[in-house]
Amino acid sequence: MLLLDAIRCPDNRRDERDSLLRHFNQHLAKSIYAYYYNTRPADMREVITIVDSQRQEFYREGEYGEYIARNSLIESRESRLYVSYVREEDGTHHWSVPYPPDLLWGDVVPSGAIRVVEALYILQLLAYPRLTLIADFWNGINYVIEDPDPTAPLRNPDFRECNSNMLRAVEENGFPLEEEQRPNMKVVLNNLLFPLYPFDLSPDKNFDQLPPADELDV
Amino acid sequence: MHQPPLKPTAHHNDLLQLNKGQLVQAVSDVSASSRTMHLRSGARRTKLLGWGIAELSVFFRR
Repeated sequence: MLLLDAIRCPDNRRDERDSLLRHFNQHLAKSIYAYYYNTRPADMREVITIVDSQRQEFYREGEYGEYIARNSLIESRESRLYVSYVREEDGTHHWSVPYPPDLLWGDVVPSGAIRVVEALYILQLLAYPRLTLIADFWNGINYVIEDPDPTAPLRNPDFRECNSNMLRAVEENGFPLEEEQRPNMKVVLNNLLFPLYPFDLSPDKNFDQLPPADELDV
Repeated sequence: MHQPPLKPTAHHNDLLQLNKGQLVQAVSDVSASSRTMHLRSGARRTKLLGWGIAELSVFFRR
């Protein structure tokens, strides 16, 4: 999805495309995409809330916020992939090994991102030259970060309307979509969300929200 | 059987060198090679949609 958003980024916003591509190998950006595609944002203002909430490098946990925890997306992804050597509070050490890949912790439904990519793939929209048509279509649409003031008018078009026009543009350029592909067209129509190129997907170093060091019992 | 996760082998700097047209070509190549990989391995459908990030390296080696 990150690569597709780089393709959906207009040519006149090269800086944002490059910024997005710099996150290509980064766990957090990819995890934000996976998380984001399991949500149903109504507008770009909700996307801001979704993305910003997942960028926090640390958060506080516990009844009184007395525990400091790492970003849960990074923690979850790294604990699936890496071995760690952990020191406990009492000074003991142990190895933390990745849990088995078939242990899903409730993630029994494939990520929404998988469904969208699968539909795009079956419709051959990721194949050349259809993908060029998609790039050309989105090149004319500039998404911007909305004013957080809820009373301010929204400035971005609805993504479903864009998706509908995108599919129409593909058909009008000589690539009719088959009737039996209607379920996949519906998936693209309703689930290819607002692009994330206007956003910073790097960790937000929210140290200012943590307690001062002299209040920590370390 | 436990499979190690795919390691991304294409560096983002390689991607930054591409113009939009080259990026489109790279992604469509990945899509096509993922299909080949899928047919060869008989992998589950969702696995082919892992976007074969390692496959991007094939594009950059050409």
